[in-house]
Amino acid sequence: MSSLGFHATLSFNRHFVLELASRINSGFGNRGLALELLIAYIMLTVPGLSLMSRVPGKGGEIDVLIRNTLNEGRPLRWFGDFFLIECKDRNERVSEKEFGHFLTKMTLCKTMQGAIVSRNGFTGSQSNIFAARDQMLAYSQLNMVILDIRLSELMSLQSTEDFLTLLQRKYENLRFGLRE
Amino acid sequence: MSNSSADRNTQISKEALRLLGIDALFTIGGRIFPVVIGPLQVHKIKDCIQYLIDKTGPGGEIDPYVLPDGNAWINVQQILSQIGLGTLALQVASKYLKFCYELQKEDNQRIKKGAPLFWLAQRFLETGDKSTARGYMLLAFIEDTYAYSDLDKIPAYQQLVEIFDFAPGILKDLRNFTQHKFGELPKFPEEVLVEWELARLPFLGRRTKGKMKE
Repeated sequence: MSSLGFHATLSFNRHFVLELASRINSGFGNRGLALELLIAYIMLTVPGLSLMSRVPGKGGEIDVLIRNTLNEGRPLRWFGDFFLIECKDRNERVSEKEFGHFLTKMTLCKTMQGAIVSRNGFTGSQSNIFAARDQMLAYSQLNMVILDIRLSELMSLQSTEDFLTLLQRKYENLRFGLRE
Repeated sequence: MSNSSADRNTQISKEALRLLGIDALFTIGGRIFPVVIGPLQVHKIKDCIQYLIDKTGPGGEIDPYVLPDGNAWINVQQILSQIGLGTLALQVASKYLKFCYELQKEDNQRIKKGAPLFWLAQRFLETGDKSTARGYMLLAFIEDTYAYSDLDKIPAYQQLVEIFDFAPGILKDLRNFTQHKFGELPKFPEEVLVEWELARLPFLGRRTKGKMKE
């Protein structure tokens, strides 16, 4: 079990976030490890969240499973007991096929909430087609929340509260079919 | 620290505290008592911190690259803590650490942040925020990994074991990981801590042709 998990919180250090983002943007992301480190770090700054397990894949994707030890409804009402994150450190947008793979992983983990963290987001996000369309279908048909989190959004965070606000905004956009 | 350096730090500390209306300090029986002639100017904490910032930098009167501990930043926060102004002490401690990170970025050079992290952890502990204190104390432990040959000589080690209930084996594992993985400590101890956390995680199982693959 994570030693930090229940007993300690890391404080948000924007300098560290920007350092990692700089490495990723410069192509020194170490095949996705820097992006994994970044999102894992940000998650660990949220009291009550801890890292549960991970699996590295081919081509720079890494999955991290987050455990939520807080009471129901915290840190966000929809967050759930577990949250699966896939990190894609590539220039290409996340395709429908990749989205589908992630959906399968979430199903196998029996997890209803997750996110794909990437440099440039989902394909079709401007027109609700391709991966963005599948994201909406996953929510409307299966009640599965899969957020599209981009590196640029993480770089603009000033605090853990900003991060939670970002997640909540993305959830609301998904739920009510709003465009970003 | 040379006597002149210590004297200079003491002088800067007194000047910084004077901005808050603390005109002098007396020590009786190991306890510090402030002398305040006019009203205490706690709202001038920003001026106090700015004064310290103006004195701080590479080659400056306060040089965290040379003396990250025992300088005016540490003196001021400790005195404020001892005289019951814990929230002000926390502000000073917090800004000192942030400023160290800013200097690192500007100068592209690593500052040994064991002391700023350790004292910030202490300040959080004094305010009752044990969870945040624990996080900072772990980072202080990592920062001091290479500075002490014996594990139990690391200042943060005793705190982590006695106050924060860390198992010694866990800290030993963290130290071994740090020394094994990083020939030189990165600029951010957070990187070491999160990598250690990730390295300890079990892998999610994968189904491959009907069998679970670890």
